[in-house]
Amino acid sequence: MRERSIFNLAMDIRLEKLDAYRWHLPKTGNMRVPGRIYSSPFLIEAIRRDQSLVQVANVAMLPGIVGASIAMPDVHWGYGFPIGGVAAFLPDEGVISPGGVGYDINCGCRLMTTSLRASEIRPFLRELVNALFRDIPAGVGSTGALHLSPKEQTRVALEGATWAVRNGFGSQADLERTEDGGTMQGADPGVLSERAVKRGLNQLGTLGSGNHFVEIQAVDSIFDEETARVFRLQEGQITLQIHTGSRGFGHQICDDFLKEMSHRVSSYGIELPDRQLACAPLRSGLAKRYLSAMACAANFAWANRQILMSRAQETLLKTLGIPPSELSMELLYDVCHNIAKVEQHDVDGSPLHLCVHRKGATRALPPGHSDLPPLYRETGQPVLIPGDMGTYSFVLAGAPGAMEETFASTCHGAGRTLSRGQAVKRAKGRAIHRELEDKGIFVQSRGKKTLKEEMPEAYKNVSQVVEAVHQAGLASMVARLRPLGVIKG
Amino acid sequence: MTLKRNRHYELINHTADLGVRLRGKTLNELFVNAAKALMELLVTFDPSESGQALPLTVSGDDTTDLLVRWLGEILYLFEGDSLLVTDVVIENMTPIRVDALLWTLPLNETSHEFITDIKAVTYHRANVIAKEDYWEACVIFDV
Repeated sequence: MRERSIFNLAMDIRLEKLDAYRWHLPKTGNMRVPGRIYSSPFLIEAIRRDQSLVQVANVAMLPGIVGASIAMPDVHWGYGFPIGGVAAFLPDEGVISPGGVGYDINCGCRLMTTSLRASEIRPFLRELVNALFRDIPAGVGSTGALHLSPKEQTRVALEGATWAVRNGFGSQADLERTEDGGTMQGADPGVLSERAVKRGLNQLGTLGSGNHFVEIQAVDSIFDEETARVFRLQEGQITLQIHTGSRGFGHQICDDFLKEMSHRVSSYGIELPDRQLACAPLRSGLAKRYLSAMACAANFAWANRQILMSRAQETLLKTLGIPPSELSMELLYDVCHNIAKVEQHDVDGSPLHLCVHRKGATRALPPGHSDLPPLYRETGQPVLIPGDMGTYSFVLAGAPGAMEETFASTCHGAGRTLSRGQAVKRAKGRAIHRELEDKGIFVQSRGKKTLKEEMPEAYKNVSQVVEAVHQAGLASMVARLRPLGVIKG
Repeated sequence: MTLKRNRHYELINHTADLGVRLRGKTLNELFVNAAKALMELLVTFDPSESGQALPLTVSGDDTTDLLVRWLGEILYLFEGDSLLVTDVVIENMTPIRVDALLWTLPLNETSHEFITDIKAVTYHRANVIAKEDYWEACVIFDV
């Protein structure tokens, strides 16, 4: 397999500024479509420095790609596809690429509202954080997971969040407020490797580590009163957010199919500029098997977040000694930000079913979209942008611009600016947990280096990322959430 | 850029993931060092702990592919079979195949401390290069 990239250095890439929040990467060489970068004057130079533009250009070379290879304002260097990348493919000529979804299939987050006020729980914050840390399995090699029989694991893979509700975690009402109803159709556990099954058997109901978290937050600012009312968000209110994915189950599935597609890609006559863009034609049996396996992992992740939400609720009730009616925890929404989906989009005036890859990007359906539950039909889909440890998170609503320009997609978070090694070096001699406590944020983490690796300075400014998508018309800002307590693996 | 020097690897800068540079006087030694580096990133353990021998054979399309698959197998032993690898002896090595004997121990949360959650060994910027009198490789782990 020959690998060629038309650009050696990102700095060689010529970008044309379209307006304050859009840049055009002209079609050059083997690119089949141009690139389109959503960014801002604050963020664009950092994007140039880390090779993500080379990856945007490489994705544009894949067969059957439609419109443009898109980058969100939080784009950064991944493998193959950049993280913060969106690409849509035609069903007949296009491809599916596991690298365009990511190893952590259906990594995503959910946000829950409560009737508690920040002022009333502040005296209990440390106790709540400690209790969540005790009760939520987190960190590398964590125990405390649900131990599934192979038969039950098959059901989880087929049913997703529905399985969790049927087994006493949360309620039916949660499913309407989960992307895809918490169950992706087309899952087929029969295509999974033994290894994927094995890695998933003992990890359901665990948080993982790295940038995954459970966070107690306070609604800090409201930007859109009307939408906030529909979303049941009020200033000073306590919310809870969970960010995690499909754990080892999804990782193994991605790995299995990347290897198989890597081996077979040249037999399809596809030349790759980068090995990690290994892919298969959507019409091939291999592609169909990957999509079925990916759906299994997506369902596992939704079940996982449903279970963790239920566990977190139990912990809050027990620790505060209050009944459910006083907590009134309700799911606002659950979004994925690593996924590929077949969706209908208008291309040159014709409705087509495209395979949309979102790797570190969030679906953002606009007001009126038929896939929205009635509750959100007028506001547009809630879009959850988790901050990183110690930084704000945001709630937005899908806007028409996303449907028109980005296959109904927007950003997913902030993205790192420092490598883990650089972060640890910069944090040397500092007590990160003390620095966060000084700001009123209590953190518990399992990993020795987690706090240093995940410190706020290691990440881009999520406020700037969110501002860029708001100004570009992809999603509208609704509320800002301030972290109060954080549990990390 | 070197951030941390270790007997078996050097960390290289990668914003989102974990990159390592590996070296060995021979290809054989490179692959042994790669296995040990991966273990050092995953977990702390007493190197004097003895384990059970487990044969492992891996093939690849080329040497880079071989290295990624080799490390992938060792990662799976850790993640899937809960085994840590305390030592490696390579019995036979070609540029596209390695036959090895791994000494393995069951993971024990009391005596082994987990360090990094590595999701996968990626092909991103992976390479194996023959230098004048040694071998060098780069691998990036998805974390």
